[in-house]
Amino acid sequence: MYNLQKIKALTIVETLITLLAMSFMIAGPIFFISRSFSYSHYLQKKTIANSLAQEGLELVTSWRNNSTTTFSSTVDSVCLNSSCAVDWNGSSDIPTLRSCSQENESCRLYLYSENGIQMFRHGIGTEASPYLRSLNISKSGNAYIIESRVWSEEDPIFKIDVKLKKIIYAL
Amino acid sequence: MHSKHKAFISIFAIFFSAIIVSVLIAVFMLLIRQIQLLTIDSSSFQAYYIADSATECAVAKEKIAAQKAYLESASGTPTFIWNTTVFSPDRWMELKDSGCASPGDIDLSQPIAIDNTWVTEAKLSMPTNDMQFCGLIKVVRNSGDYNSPNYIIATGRSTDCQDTSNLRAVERGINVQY
Repeated sequence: MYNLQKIKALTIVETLITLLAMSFMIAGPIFFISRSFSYSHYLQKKTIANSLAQEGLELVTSWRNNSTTTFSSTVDSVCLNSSCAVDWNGSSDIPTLRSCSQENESCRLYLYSENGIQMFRHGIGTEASPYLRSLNISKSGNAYIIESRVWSEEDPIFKIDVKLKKIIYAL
Repeated sequence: MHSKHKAFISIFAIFFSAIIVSVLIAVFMLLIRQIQLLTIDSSSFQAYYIADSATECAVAKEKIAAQKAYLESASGTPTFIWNTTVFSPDRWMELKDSGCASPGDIDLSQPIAIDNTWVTEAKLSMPTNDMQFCGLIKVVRNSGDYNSPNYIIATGRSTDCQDTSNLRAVERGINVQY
């Protein structure tokens, strides 16, 4: 009654090879996709870090442009012997400057929101950002050599460390 | 007949696998290229700040010269800025000795006189932790005319001042007329 055909089954070796091939086919794309996400995240963070380092230099330069005397006296007393943090509230003529240590959390930037505008600020804000910013300033005559450093140690594989340097004169 | 179907399916499997793998590799390569571009972007920021520093340096030297001319004139000796500027064949050694931020950080030769102007070309070296940057300054200063403008042309490069062969170097420039 029944027409039974003799069909050869797969051997264990064939099965294993098939499973191996399939696992490669699945693992490959997963690796690529996860790596791509990591790189995208890294690129986003580095772009923000670049802009924050640039902001540090621009704040100091605008302060020098606003008042050379106030700039010189404040920088000489606060920043020449230690790293310092520059902060601006978004409306005043000049930023504020205070010393901070690269070894601890005092250089950390926080996300601060006011009237729907978000900005990164030192010490003020509801949410700690992954970024820390410090200015290292040295003086030679009338020239100030300013290095703005922004770094993040959130991800140990893709570390962010951006440094920008500039010379300005207080005359 | 049976074996023909099998081969047909294999070709499709290879074809679709190749498409998926090539798309994934393309996305991955795109991200690698983006990282390279971002590195160039970082160098671009620093190159701009070197050009800015070089401009600041030239402007500061001119401000000091103007102040000096003013003080000498006020004390009874009529003095013009072209008598006190360091961008002149008589005083360029002062610039070489003092430098921009520290003595020796600027390299220049004697200014050349061209059509009532002095043309000074200098190189400002600025090392950062990651790489060496170079600022190129060209100052075209009039040598005795109030009405003619003076020019500062500053360029920042993401290489050492001696290295002119790096095709991946980023350059940013600032031109000032005063």
